[in-house]
Amino acid sequence: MLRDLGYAADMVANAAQTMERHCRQPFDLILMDSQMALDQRAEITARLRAMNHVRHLPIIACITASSEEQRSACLNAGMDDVCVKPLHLTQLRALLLIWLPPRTVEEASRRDAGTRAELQSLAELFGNGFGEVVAMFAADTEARLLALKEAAIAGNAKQLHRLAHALSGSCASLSGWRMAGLCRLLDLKYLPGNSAACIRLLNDISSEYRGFRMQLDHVLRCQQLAEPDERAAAGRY
Amino acid sequence: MEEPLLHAGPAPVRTALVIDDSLVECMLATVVMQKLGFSVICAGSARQALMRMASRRFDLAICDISLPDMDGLALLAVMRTAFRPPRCIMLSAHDAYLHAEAALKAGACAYLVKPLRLESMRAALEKLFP
Repeated sequence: MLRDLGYAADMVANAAQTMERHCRQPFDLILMDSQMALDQRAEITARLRAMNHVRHLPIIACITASSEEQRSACLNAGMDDVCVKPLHLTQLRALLLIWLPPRTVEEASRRDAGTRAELQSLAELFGNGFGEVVAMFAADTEARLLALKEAAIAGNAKQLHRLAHALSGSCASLSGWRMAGLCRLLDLKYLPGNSAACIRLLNDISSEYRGFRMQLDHVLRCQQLAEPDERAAAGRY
Repeated sequence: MEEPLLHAGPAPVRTALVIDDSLVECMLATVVMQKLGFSVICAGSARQALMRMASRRFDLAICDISLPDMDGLALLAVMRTAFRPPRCIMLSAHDAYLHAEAALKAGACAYLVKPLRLESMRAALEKLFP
């Protein structure tokens, strides 16, 4: 699946192999399978974290069940994120969008083009109703971002998880994968008393929202500009 | 006397009930189902869904697993007790797939991972309404 998404991938079976390959050619991201015992995964994580990396090395655990214990154990062992098997291409891509930011302008513009193509096909699906969907999404998101900030300040964990989960779902519906992923991360990692980290993540979500909103507005504007032409073309024949 | 012509007429439009508390997701499900030839009515909660079901019959219910007032699985159980119950497709977030497996055991016809897309719904419906 990683190769299908255009990434080079290497497979290793244990801690020794991981360290040996990583020292030879550092990985940009590690996906760690749950078939490996938790203490072994924790050991690899600790050893990788002890190395001096120029940038943070994202370590993501792939777990089999969506149990709270497994998630917490992986996060407590120092891993950055958790994904649930069976892994789908969409979910894997969303993970990579969060944890592997583009390094070059070309890569960033390739990603933008990918998002725009997805938004254009959604705009075609909704037809004239796309404007209403964008307006609804914007109103919903802005209200939820405000409520999330209030919940974070008040330390209201239940409300925060509920809002983050809901926002992640509506972003994914409109192909806002990176924003959906950041919201999922907030839902996954928020702990009461950790409001500073939570506010930082919320700021990232807000800034991602501004970018995504611009892309939505751009696609909407293109759709609106194309419509009179279509009507004129239809009238000609 | 001239015999009246018998017209088969167009096939009756199937109706779907979309149950989701997110407006954006309801709009997406509505447009997807309309493209697939369904007439759609939305409900934002389990309570609203049951009210809609009391006033008319649906061929299909598309239900989110997490609803504000009732668990989607509990709603599925209630819907299945209706006279001529609708077929149910459950929707869930990817990491809630264990709930989705439980939904299939509880009588859902299919489950789809959110976000909903036209092709995955088309494939599910081809199996349900061949």
